[in-house]
Amino acid sequence: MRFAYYPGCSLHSTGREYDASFREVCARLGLEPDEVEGWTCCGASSAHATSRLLSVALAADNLARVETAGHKDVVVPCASCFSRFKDATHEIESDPGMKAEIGGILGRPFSNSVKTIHPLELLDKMGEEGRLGAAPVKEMPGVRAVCYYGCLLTRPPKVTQFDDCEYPMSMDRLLGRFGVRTLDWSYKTDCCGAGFGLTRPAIVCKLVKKILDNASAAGANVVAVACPLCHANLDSRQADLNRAGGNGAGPGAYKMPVLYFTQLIGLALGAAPESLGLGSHLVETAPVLGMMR
Amino acid sequence: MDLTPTQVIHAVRLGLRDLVLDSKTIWICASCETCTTRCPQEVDIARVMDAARILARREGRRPRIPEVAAFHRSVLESLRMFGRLYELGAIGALKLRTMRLTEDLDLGLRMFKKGKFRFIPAFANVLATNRIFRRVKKAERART
Repeated sequence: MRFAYYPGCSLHSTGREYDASFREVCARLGLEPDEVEGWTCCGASSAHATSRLLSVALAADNLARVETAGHKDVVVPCASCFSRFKDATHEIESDPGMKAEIGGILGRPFSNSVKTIHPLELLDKMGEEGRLGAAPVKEMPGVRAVCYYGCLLTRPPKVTQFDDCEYPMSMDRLLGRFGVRTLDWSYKTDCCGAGFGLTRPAIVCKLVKKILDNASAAGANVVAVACPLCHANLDSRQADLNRAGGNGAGPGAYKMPVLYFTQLIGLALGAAPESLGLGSHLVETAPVLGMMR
Repeated sequence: MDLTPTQVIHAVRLGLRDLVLDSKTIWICASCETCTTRCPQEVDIARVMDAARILARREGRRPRIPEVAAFHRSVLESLRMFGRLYELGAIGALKLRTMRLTEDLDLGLRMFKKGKFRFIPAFANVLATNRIFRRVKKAERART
């Protein structure tokens, strides 16, 4: 199956493990992502905080590229890009004047016909329909994962139309199909602080601490994520938390591996850890490999 | 956060423009969309925060949390320069704007060692992206 693929800026930089592991999983499941040619930034959180029209136009520009390439669907792994694309589509649909205005700004025809899909939706649906092209070859008896969905996949539900907005299960279901045990917990859709990692790191540390403490209390030894910014915050702030006194269980107590769900699926399908980018995390991921057989 | 989201909405309804546009809250909102999702009256609070940030900037008000406004400026500047976000460049511009040069320096170094950063920016459709910025500005001027 072929579909348009929009990686976005993070997946070509700080989140490149997500890009590598998504491609690896696609190859093993017989999927062919076709990277959108000449894609540009979706505008992320800075465009919508600066100009409504700009935020819609920057996302629509890329949706128009998908149309031009002849695709009906675009798969977008980054939660922030996913949210911007969904928002632009919804905004143009619900505001009658917007479509013409955006067409004028882009300077080319745009019919707003592309559907934005997250890899979780794509793979979960394939699983439900029994169309996953490969079965796990490795067992992970020691892994107890909590699935962290974050903010922008699920909210606002009328725009993203993704799973349940308070207690989503698609990642849990999907990982379960690959033999990964997932646990119930309370912070599935709480905020990690997003871009404040660069401007107000103290806020991010506070939120990351709550998320990781709840994950530990639930008995987890891995956090599975689906967003490059969530990954950056959860992975990078554990050293700060340890410097600030840890969690009471001794120094260096925060060492929770944070893996993209695509990395866990890749491992289950027998991919080499290096090809999934497991070596470039800040928190050691080797313990996860020890939980497999 | 100096005003709660509820207080922001009340202040908007009472027309207390300065109170809202000069608040810290509008800049400290992370757009997590929880309030919008849960509001029983279906008020799109996150969108109100966006609108307040846009108005504050348009009116030339000094943002009460300047580093957040500097972050947005640095990101959009990078986008105009390269068509994509050049993370290292945008972080550098943000550090210079806020003069917080050493904050998280060790984290930056650890990420650098792990090969997290891309050194050479990727260029993509720079001219077309700049055209979008110009046309948006023109359309917005014509409206006001």
